[in-house]
Amino acid sequence: MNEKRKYGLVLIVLFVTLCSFAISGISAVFSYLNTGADRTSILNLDVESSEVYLPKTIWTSLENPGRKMEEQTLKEIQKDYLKSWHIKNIAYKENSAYGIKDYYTDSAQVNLLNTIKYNKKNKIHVETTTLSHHLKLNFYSADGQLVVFTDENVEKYTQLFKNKKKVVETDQTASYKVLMLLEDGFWRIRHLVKSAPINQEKKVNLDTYATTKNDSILLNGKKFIIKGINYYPQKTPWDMFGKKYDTVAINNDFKLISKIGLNTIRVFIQYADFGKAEIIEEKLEKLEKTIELAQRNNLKVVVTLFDFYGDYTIKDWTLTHRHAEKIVSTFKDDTTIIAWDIKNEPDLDFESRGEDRVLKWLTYMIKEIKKFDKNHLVTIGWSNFNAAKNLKEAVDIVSFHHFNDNLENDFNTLKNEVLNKPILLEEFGIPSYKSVWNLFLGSSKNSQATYHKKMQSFLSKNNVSHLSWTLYDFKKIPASVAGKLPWKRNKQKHFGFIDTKGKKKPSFEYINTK
Amino acid sequence: MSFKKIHIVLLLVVLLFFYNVNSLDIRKENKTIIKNKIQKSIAGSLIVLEFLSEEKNLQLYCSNSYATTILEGEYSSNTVTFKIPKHICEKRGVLDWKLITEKRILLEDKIVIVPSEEETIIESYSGPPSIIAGGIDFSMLVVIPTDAYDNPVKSATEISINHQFLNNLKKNTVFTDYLIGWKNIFSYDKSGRILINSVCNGVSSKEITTEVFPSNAIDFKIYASRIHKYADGNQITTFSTSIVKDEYGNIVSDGTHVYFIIEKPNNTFLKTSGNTVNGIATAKMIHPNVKEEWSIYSYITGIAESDRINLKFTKLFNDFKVNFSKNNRMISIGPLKSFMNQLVPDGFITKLVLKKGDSIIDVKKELTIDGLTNFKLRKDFYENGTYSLILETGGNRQFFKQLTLQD
Repeated sequence: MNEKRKYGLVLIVLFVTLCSFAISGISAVFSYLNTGADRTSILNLDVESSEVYLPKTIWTSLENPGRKMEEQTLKEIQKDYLKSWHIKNIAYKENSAYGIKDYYTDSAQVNLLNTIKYNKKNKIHVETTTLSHHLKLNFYSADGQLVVFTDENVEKYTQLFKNKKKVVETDQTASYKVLMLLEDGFWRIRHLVKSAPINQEKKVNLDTYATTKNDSILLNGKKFIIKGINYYPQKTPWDMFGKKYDTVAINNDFKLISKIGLNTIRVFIQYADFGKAEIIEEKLEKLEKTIELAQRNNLKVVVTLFDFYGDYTIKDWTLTHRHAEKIVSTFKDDTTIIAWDIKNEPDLDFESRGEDRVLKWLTYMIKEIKKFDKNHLVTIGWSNFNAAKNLKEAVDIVSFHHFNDNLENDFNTLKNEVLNKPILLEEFGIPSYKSVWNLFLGSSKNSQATYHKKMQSFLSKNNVSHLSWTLYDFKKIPASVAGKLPWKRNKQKHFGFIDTKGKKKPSFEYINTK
Repeated sequence: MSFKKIHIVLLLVVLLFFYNVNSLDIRKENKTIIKNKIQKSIAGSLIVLEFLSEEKNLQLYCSNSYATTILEGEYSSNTVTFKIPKHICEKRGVLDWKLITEKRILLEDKIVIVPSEEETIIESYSGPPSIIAGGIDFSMLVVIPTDAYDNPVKSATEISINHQFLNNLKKNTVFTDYLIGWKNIFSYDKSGRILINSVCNGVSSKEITTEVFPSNAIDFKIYASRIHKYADGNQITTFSTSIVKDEYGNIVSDGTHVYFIIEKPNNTFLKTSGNTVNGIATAKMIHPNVKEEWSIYSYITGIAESDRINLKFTKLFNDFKVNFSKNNRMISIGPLKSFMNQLVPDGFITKLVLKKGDSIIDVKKELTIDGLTNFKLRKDFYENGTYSLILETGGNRQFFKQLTLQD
């Protein structure tokens, strides 16, 4: 009897489970079938297009013996011309003719198709981007259907692959004569003739604000040792320029930082937050305001760009270049900023994105920033002293982060590698965090103070430029910063010199050398 | 002892390594040279580059106006040969090449490929396709001569551009610059067609036609013609323009739209229009049915206008008969007689205004049939009583101050 009851119970449970599975399965199928196209799609509304290719393009002259160029037509020509490059870049990368008929006339397409055919046969593919175009109008026909212009000194970066292995990469400058025809609403390339680059006069820049000499940073020719701190407002860590942007809080913090004798802060600009290729004016204004507040409190600024950026593909280069251009050219005459830190800890992306890809992106980003701002220095915030050896020739300041004990060793190793460049210890610190996760290993508030005392004595003895991490303890850390694991996330909350209640921790005494 | 041995071996290995590296470098610098230095080539002729080198795994990167690719060499003894693919040899412009091995660039140079002179193909564009006479407007001919491989011909190539108009035949010579040659062809005073062609390297383009349309019309005259001068509401007056011409005496294009505005007394207007055929536009308007004077003018919108003409219409008759019957509820007008005592044409308007005191009770309009009109004032609508009445036709009017309507 008991046995029978047990069976019965098992059967009932089994039945109920099966039924619930069946029902959930059917409902999943049903809801899938019910999700369809958005109703507005019936209207065939204009698809919102975003720019995909933005090399620096300027028209140096519109003088021509034919028709006067209209502003609108010029925009259309430029748009279609750049797209012709973009489409060609994609066609050679994928070895597919997709889209080329929209940007090349029938006769010009043949040239691309021949190349695609040849490269496909030989298992070659090419990844290219152009970085700048200087266009000079030569001729615009009376009926507005034909245009000839010269694209002077196109900077083109190419990686060439055979059997999916990179064979060579090159950097070339060439000029092109371009003839385009207006056919059914598209300006299409009819002829493209490459010629040697045209010599350009190089402008000599006088009175550069920030420079380096041997291993020193010079501001207006005077030696400057960075003694500062990485800064996020206490209430809005990793969202400094968001909706809760508060100039009063920032100003008070800057006052405090300045009062305790520090001279520099480091702030972060997130690529997506600032609007990617098209910078959001409002964000830029907030950054300007922040820099102004720093200046008012006698603080210098290191600005870290491209926070949370992680694409690095050649296709994406020109978009990131426009992002950087807009920001750095806004501040090119500013005397509060010392350096542009291109990217925070890019070496952490080596594994997922490929070391070569990341390094190439950084190399060309440095060049691009130098084009628009010759007044400030450039650095990269490597996550450790070993990674800091990358691109040491390209940067002005070699920066690294350090979060363990043997700084003296690591610093000296790096110092021997880069003799003639200033070195910046861009982030260092230790959390005052103890919990069940690290009951025995974690540091208390007192050991945090000991750590900073030790650090400061080494830094001041060796005159090392440094920025500590960070002013405040934070209540909340976004998952994108330290992941979701509680022992990592909670640790990240306790790096500050001031706790969440605004009380100074023992370490605060060693925030700066006495 | 054994330690020492190891040290020596290590030292030797290190030394050997350095020696090798050094000698390797020297070999690279010294031993890779180009056998046939080419600086210039003609489109279509094959380019073969030969290098003397002991390196293996050599590859040649090349990039021209359109293509970027990499080539594998053919090795024989210590010579490496690269055959540049046909599609690259055929394109005008700079061909950059780099000899590479293991991602290192050993040699690099450029070859300028000039257009071939074998064959010329002419592509020409002319626009706009129609222009206006008078020598101010022009059509632009753009010629893109290309060689057999679709390369624009070398700059400063001579192109002769010919055009014919009536008895004129003109030849001009231009030279290509920025890939093209071009010429503005201005219109003449006469309208007609300009035929254009171009010749480059002995090859002639096809014929291009540019239509020269007459220029804008200048002011013109208008005329009116009619069967008679009477306001019979039946006949039609035809307006016509003089031959509308431009300032050079060209008749304006057929289909030019001309408006005629008729100004009537009391500031009322009539409007009619017509399109020109051989320069003359005609339009029509029905005669009024009362005595009137019209002032007529005409214009082509925004371009030209005519002088004014006046037309007078005279009354058909000076009086009319009225007959009351059925207790004044049936009012008959007519027979109305026209200017030769004939009955007025059917459809002549008569009007009745019925008033009681000062207020108008009703206004009725009827058209004549066989010169007669009847107005019925039915008792259902118009109660018995005393009314006053006005009757109008052909600009004549009769008053009846006391009109009694009864059953």
